[in-house]
Amino acid sequence: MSGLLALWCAAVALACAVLAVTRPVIVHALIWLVAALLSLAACFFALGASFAGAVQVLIYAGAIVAVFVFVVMSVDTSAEARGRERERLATGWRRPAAAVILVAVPLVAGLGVGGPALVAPQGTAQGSLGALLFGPWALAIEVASGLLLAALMGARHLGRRGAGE
Amino acid sequence: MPSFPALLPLLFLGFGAVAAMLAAPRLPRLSRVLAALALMAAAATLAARLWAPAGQSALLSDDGLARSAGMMVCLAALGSLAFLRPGGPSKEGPALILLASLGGLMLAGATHAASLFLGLELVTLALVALFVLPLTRAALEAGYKFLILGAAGAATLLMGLALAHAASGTADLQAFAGRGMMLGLATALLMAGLCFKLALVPFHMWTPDAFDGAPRAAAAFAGAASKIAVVAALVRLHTLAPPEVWAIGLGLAGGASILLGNLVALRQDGIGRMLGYSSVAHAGYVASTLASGAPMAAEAALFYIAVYAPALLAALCVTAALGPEARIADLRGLVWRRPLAGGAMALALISLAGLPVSAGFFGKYIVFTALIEGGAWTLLAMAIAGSALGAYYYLRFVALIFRRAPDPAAPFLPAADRLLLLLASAATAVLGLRPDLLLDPLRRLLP
Repeated sequence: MSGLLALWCAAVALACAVLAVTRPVIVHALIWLVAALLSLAACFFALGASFAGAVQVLIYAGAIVAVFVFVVMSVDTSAEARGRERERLATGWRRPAAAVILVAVPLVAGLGVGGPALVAPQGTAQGSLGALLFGPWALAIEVASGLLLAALMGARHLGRRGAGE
Repeated sequence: MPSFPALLPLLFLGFGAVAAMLAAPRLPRLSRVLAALALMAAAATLAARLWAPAGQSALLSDDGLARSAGMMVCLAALGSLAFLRPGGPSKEGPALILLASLGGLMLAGATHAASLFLGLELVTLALVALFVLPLTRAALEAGYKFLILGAAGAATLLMGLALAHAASGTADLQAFAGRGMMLGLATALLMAGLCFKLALVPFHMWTPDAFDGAPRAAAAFAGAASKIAVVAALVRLHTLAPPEVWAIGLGLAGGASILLGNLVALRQDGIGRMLGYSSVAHAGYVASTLASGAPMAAEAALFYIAVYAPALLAALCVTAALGPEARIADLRGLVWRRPLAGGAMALALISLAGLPVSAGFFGKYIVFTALIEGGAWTLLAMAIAGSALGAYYYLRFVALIFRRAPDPAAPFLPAADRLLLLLASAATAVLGLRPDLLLDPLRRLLP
């Protein structure tokens, strides 16, 4: 049952993702993106990965979409811009689509024949996950903080441009 | 968790980065000194434990490969730091170099998908920030190109790691030691992600812009320290015997990089762009060595990138002293105006060309030996053709250095630059006479 639910959610996510990349109006695209991210979260929940699902809702559908909203505020949404975007989409989709097919075809073919069976879905206990993150994985968390520090320094430096000139 | 001595270099770099960042706004000089001390401390602790018994933790392996590559990353980063010009509003440079070196150390020891990804991204993000330090148009172009291509590479890499996890149920890199269609696809995607960072041919677009527009020191880090770390990660994956697509892909990308890098470098008059395209070609030699499947491939690849690093550092340091738009004509008579800069540049270019009495000669020699041993005749032919092309354009630059010039203006070289040029030239010359000084330890340290 949960497998069927996961498949359904994945199909909805795929459809929403296709709609998100084909809408010329950026706000519409953004709403479809939120729908795709939420369906993906539902997919995670259905497979028993509740932690991944919660992260998906909090970080992707929450924080990352908020960043997109800030970008949208600085985007030109006039009629001519929309026309230009439509023109670009008329031919621009071919290469990304070809890349997707290049990856998707062997993947789908490989699932059917010969490939090893997919690992069965299993639930994760949040307690053990926390113990892992603060135990053997503490180093990864610390290095991730270094990653954020580097990104922060770069972003602050780029942001200083307006103030400096 | 790794043992405390194994963590020490990471601690030095991490805390050093924070200290350098805090000191940067008010005391930029202190920030540089702190960064240099942290790098030296990290390199020294790694060197002291070079022969200690290997250890293993959840994320990092603490073995000879990780330690030797980590030490080389720290030394190369120290070289880049030496000629990082403090100019304009940018003072975070030293802290960013430390963070990028931390990423390099992670990458050199990575045995798990998480540490591999974190290491790669730390190097990439810190390098993007380093590239855009001057805030000029060219630097911004280089930075954004690297950011966007790097993000695409990271996404590809993540997809590969996810597929390997789906196929094997483990996120350990050991997952790649298997066979099957799904794992083959995973390996191809992983390799594409790593090729972005190594600047192999279909994914090399960021390199010339980075070498031309970004600060030369940042380009030197991208070309030397970051490539050493990526090669260490490639060697570690290589020893796991991944699916066949690994060797095929590395061979294709490597051969194409050798030919294209050298052919395009032939026509460049800007020194930065020439070094950028030649760096693509040099990464190609490393990749084709690993693709050859020879038993000595791992040590040959590491030796090659290790002797490439000092030559590149010296060449870029002189280029930095010549100004932001250094062209081939600026080299005219350099050895008569500034004997140290001219001599170091000439030796570096001779080493890059792979001519005798320089470390680069033995780098090329051992790469060719590996290709012969592995029976990779097509790759060998490509490597020989590429080296011949390379010798032509490098010697064009070398010849100009020794020509008498009417223009007496001499570039200014700070003390740190002079020290770097001396040390890099000494390393190139000594390894050109006694390659066994580096080759023997590498041979014994590698798994």
